[in-house]
Amino acid sequence: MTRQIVIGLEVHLQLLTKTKLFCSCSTDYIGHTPNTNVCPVCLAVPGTLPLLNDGAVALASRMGLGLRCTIQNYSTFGRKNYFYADLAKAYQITQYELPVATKGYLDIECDERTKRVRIHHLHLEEDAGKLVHPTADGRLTGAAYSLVDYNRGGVPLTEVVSEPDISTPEEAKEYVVRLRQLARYLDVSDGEMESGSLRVDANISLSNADGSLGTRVEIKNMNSLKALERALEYEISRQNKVLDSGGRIVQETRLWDDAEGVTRSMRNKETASDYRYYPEMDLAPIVIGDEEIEGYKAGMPELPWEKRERFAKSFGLSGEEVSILTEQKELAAYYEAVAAAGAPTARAANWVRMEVLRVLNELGQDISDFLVKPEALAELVTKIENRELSSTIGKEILDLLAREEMTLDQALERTGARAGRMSGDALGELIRRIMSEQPDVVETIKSGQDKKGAKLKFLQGLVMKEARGQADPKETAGLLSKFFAESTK
Amino acid sequence: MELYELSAKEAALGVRTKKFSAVEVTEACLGRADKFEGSVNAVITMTREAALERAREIDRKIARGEDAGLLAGVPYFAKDNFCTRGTRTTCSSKILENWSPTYNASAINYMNNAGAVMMGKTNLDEFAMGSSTENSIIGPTKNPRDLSRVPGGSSGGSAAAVAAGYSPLALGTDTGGSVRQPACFCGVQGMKPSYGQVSRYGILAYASSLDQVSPLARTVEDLAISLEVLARPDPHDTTCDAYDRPSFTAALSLEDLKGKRIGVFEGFESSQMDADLYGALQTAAGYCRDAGASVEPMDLPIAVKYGVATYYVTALADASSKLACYDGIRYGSHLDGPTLNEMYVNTRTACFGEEVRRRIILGTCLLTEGFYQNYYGPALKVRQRMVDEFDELFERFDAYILPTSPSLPYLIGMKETDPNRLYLGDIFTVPISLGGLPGINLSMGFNADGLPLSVQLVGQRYFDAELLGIASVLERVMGKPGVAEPGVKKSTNTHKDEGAK
Amino acid sequence: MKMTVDHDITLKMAKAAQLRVEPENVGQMMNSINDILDFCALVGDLDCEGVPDFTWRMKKRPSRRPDVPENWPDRELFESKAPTFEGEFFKTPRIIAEG
Repeated sequence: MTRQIVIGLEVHLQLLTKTKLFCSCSTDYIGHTPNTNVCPVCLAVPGTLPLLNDGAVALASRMGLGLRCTIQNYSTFGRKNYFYADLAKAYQITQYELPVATKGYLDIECDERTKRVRIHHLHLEEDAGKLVHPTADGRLTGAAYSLVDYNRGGVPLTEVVSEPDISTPEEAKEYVVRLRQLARYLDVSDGEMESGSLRVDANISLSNADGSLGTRVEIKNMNSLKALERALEYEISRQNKVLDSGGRIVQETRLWDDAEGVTRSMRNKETASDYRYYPEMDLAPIVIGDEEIEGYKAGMPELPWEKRERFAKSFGLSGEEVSILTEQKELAAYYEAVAAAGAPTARAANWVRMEVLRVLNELGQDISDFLVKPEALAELVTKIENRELSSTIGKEILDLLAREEMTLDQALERTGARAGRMSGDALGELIRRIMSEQPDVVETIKSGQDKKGAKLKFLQGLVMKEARGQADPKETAGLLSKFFAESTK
Repeated sequence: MELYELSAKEAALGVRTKKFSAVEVTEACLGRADKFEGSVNAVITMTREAALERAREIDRKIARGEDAGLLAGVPYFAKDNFCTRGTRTTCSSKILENWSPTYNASAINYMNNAGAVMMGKTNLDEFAMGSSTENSIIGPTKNPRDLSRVPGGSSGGSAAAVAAGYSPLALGTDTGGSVRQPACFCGVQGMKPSYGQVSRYGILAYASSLDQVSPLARTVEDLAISLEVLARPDPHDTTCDAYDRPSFTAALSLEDLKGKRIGVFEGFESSQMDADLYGALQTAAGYCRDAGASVEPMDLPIAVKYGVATYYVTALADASSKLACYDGIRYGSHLDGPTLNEMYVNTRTACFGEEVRRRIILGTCLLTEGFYQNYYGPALKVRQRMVDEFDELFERFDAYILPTSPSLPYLIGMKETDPNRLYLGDIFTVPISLGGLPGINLSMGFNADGLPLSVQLVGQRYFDAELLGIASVLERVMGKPGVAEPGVKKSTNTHKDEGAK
Repeated sequence: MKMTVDHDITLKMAKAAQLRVEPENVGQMMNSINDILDFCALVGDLDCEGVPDFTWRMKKRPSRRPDVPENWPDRELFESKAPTFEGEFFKTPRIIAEG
């Protein structure tokens, strides 16, 4: 029996603000000395009061608009009360009743069809501090004591809560990928799961035999896309097994153990109904006027799907090409600059998605670090298009440009490609020279023993190498067979 | 007239015009504290040296011809739940026994910037939870008008200090009556401004939506001057309204109550309250009429019936949340334990007093799933209905009068055990807090036993200046409370002298 | 609707509040909570159909804090306030009990 899989995701994104949600401490905590980005407000010193960061409201609104949500003119904060060492006030200020943005959607592509995942809402809340456990493996279990660093405490988060519209682990992954892409396009969050600036909690249930909704299990602690997929797969099979054997699913929170590849029930921790929520009266409600919302709308950059459509239309590119080029907005911008500098769009697209990404990968760089100016790549690609340079030498030049500060001219000089293409008499001369240097090979071919043409290929390779890639392979092959034909007459 | 008997206005004027020095005023007030503190016990921490140094600084400023501020050289005390940089701030609790904040409450900064001289920190019920100032790490404060009685609370130390002439001014906080009721018990003037009028930054919270910094003094004019200094927008507190305040002192020029519509609250059984206090209310109504006001009876059925319950639910829930930060990790007292939870429990159980612990557990309960839906949730809506009821009322009235407390100050140690009578004690003050309205306790002399009588004057939210105007007209008839001579003689009359000696 | 607590809920509430109630005092605490719950159940009696939750109305909409970082100058002072500051960290006892 196949049970319907129902998945809803809660994605926490750390917002790219300069300061914390309720105080002026810097959000730049990674790698900082513990407890240096702190002040009386985020240490919950008695008497202090939260002061809402305008930048966080702007970024959350922007994300809301990107998800086609309605930005609320009026939203409120509440307190989620629970004791934990990383939570200084012993309550988290969050939005639970009237969030900043509601009812939107995100389209994802899965199995070559578009699926719409509805967004329930998006809200603002503050992050907790970090605990350091002085054990060999850094785990909580077995630690004789723990150390608290409040640098992260109060960093703004936006939580995007989806409707339970997701039906497979792959869709879940794709949803997070698209959400992350959107957040990055909007400069809302850098969305790094590894560093924790993007965190995913999943709610998953399997429908009952009669089609009614099953019991929901929450899964936490998935620190990569792979982990998300694996955890959901594991949980689906676990729940199926439980149900197949006539058991019942317990509503609970389970933690993903990546090393063991299992989810584990999270005991000893308060469950959702034990958190005590109530309105936060130290903060006035967030009032966002219509004119303010219009301002946010006006400031929206081009969204991923808009860019995809435009790229396909203006540059005549295929869906696959467009997807790769627009995956990161920085790469898309780079491609656009190459195209704007006059490069033939199709070949430029090919070069950016194949060669540029290859070099970046080799160098471990981001496109923002890339040394090759779009204008230089445009010129290079144009030369290749015009058959002034071969692709091979083009790649060599790109490698050079990416590794050293130099002009395209200097690179042409360095690779010896300055002279331009080798063809006609010059190429013929070269071929004759190489044939004279390889009498044995020439003899073998002449005697008809080169049945598979390997020897001829070998000669051709030597020619190409000597020509530093400046010879046209077709012309070379043509000339070679012509010379052999002449000599055997 | 002695220097310690001066109003803040008179003291500042005298200091500025060099009639006497800030040091002389400060010493006179310190002398009063020295003389009576042994019996009154109003002060947790005296900052004698800092006060004298500050007074000398004011005098030097004046000698140089500089503007020393509206409250130049005026001594004041602050309740020990105001953060004072470098001066220990205990909230009367073991959990903060040795805690000195690294910053000043905004109200403290405003007072200091106006030239006022802080003398020390006054006693309160632990975390402002109580109405008798008995529940404290330094023991009970005694009522300067009658040392066998409580001064009211929770700002009992501040009220006692003003009544006993330790200072002409003191700061308290009023959550559900914590300034108005001790002002009533000690026979001084006390005003809870509208919610949103004064910054709460640096106040150790009891309940965020109710706490309001509130001055105590012996004249209405001094209350107005205090508001002039305290009521202003504060970038550290967004619940403190950013609007431009009118002049609070300018409103005192009101000559009579002609054209004013004053309500007399009749929503209670006169048998449920002290006869003298009931009589005082009737007298006050007469004064209003005499001053030219139209006086009509009025009632607030929702506020009367639901006010106290709504207040308890709101305040206790909030207290449980605001007091959760005392976890023994970042500041305050700490008792070790083998695990985090045990450390929490050890610290909090040993360092919070019994009443505070009781209220925290109650508040926790009120916010728990199930209880929330039946208590906190409905209370939020009832509170809105109370606000609506007040809005309607103020279409018909400019202000209304009612008792501050149904009872006279009771004997120390006479703990009220009947919960219904206990709730009744707050019945006249908490609705005003829930509605965010300004309320003033106006002293009206003493009964035959020398115990203070008073009336509470309440206005529309943000009409604090207008309310002070009405209060100043009434004070001209009722008289200003004089300084008590604790343990020496019963206070009998209010003194009605105008102006300085 | 009026609610009450029993012995167990009283202890559960104390635990949630990180407070200890000695066994001999649980009954008293329970009664005290029930007294208040009894009295405060009044709030459920008023018809509040369609009434919004209370929030403060303000004369002027509060401005939001600009997103400009500032360093708090007094680090040393509040570090010294912490009962258990060690090195660069606040220190807590073990979070999970042994065994």
